[in-house]
Amino acid sequence: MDASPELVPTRDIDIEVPLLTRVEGEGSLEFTARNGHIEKLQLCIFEPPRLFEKFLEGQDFTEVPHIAARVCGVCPIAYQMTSIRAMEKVFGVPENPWVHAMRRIIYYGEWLQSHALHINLFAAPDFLGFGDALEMANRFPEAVRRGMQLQSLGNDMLRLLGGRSVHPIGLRVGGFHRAPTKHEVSDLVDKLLAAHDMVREFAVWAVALPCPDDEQDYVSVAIRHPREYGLNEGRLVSDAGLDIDFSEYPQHFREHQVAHSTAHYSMMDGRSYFLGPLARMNLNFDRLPLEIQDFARDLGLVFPARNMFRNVAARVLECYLAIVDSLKILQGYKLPTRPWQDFTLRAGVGHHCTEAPRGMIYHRFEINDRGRVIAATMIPPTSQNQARMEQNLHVAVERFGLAHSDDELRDLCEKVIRNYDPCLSCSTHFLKLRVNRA
Amino acid sequence: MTILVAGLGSDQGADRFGWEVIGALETFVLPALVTLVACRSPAELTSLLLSSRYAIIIDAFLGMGPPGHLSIIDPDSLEDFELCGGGGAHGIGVVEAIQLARALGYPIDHCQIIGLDVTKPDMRLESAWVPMAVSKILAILTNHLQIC
Repeated sequence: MDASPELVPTRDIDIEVPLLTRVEGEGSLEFTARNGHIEKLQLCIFEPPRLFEKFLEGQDFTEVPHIAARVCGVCPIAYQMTSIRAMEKVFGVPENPWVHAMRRIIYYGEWLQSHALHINLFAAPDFLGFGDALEMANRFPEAVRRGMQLQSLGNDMLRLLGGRSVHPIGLRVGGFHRAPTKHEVSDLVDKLLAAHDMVREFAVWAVALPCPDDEQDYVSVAIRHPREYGLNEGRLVSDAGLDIDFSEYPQHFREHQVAHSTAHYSMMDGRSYFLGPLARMNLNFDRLPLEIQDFARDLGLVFPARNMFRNVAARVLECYLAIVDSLKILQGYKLPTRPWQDFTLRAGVGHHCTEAPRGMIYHRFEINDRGRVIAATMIPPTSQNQARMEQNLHVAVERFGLAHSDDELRDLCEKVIRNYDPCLSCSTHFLKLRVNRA
Repeated sequence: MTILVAGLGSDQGADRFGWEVIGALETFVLPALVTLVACRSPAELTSLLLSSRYAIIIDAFLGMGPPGHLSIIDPDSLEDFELCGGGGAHGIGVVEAIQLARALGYPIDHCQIIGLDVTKPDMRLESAWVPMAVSKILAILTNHLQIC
């Protein structure tokens, strides 16, 4: 994406993208360039505040998972799981091995359905030059069908433990309301076995997509666990030396408001940082099963990677992980005596982080001795990535060259933003450009 | 291959219709090949259609009234209806999800859409509407299973 000398513009550029159309929120993008340099490049999220943290105040702890799930229609498990674990920290509930394993299964389900959907329907048309997934499906029906099957398998995993994929209801403080029967687990194992070769084919296809090179200097932040690929438990680490307990999050991460966005910006020790599949892969590649590490090397993948578009490869390797690790867990499935652990209510403050499909999510809950919420804080990955996205756009656009046409600039911006799979970039055609050239 | 009954909706007002119908159908003992799914977003629909041999999709739509009127909608005329789940998550609505399934080889005449006219987006879901739809769906299923 290097700019050739002839592409250095002699004109001023004012580009306004008034509406990033999407489902989970609304935003816009605008940049102004003078004398070949970007003066302003802002990703503006103007979604009204949703006030969920305030809604939770005064609620009984048993209501929290159901309300938290409503924050996001795409990744309800992330909100449920993080709030549940934060409250379990307050009540002193350790995870037993069965609950821990089943929580990984349901979270893998969310990863698989979200990643497969993103790669298949949103990222791939970008890289292959199709206007949308429908156009791509007419040309590559088998590839699209395979992605849909993996997405569907992810939803099956969600239903196994969540009861339904629509705002699942199976999770509770202490574990799950119900343990799946052996028959239900056996059915899912059959589907996972059938998907094993399919996900490898999906990975080969996705890694071969003609993604741009977008080498960037950034700091990855993710959960790291002593033995597992970071997901639900562990410590928060970065490749800049951070290694903290989740309870130390407020001491290192600070949110602030900016005039152009209703989403808070977040900085780690004063600088932007990067969350999501590539950040996780950069920090946890050695925690993947050897089968997946070898497969990645065979595909020529090397982590840590600086090319932001390696996010696609990281996502597809996480799809593979979801299937391999779920098979390992479920092939040894045993019915528990009871699918939850008892606990005693007590007052206190609990912090927890988990890895949503789009990156790390942080929750803090303050609970009184009757189990009611005094205060809640929920920091989603998209707002944490917002500052990094703007920096990414800035560098990518300058390297690309401002003399490119508006359509080419819009196309690049769409790819860069969509690569983060933020809630605000969900639709396939989300940038409507209004251009004013001086 | 299953017979899919998919209810689309959200937890808002009459848009709960699709989910409520699925909830009501879950109280019946249905043949094992009937799969009931409350869809979180139309983006789920394509893969569900592809793994079914026949499908009934349930959604609310904003029509001319009267509220509570049930319509059987031909998938080919779906674009003429303003479905409550029409926009869908990720920009994939019901229309796009069905078009995508069709592009991937799903025979569109194996799909029926049952729409409830709720007239206005903020309409309350009346309790009589759900059993009315359930009866219709059970009749379609019975008929379909007899033919098969």
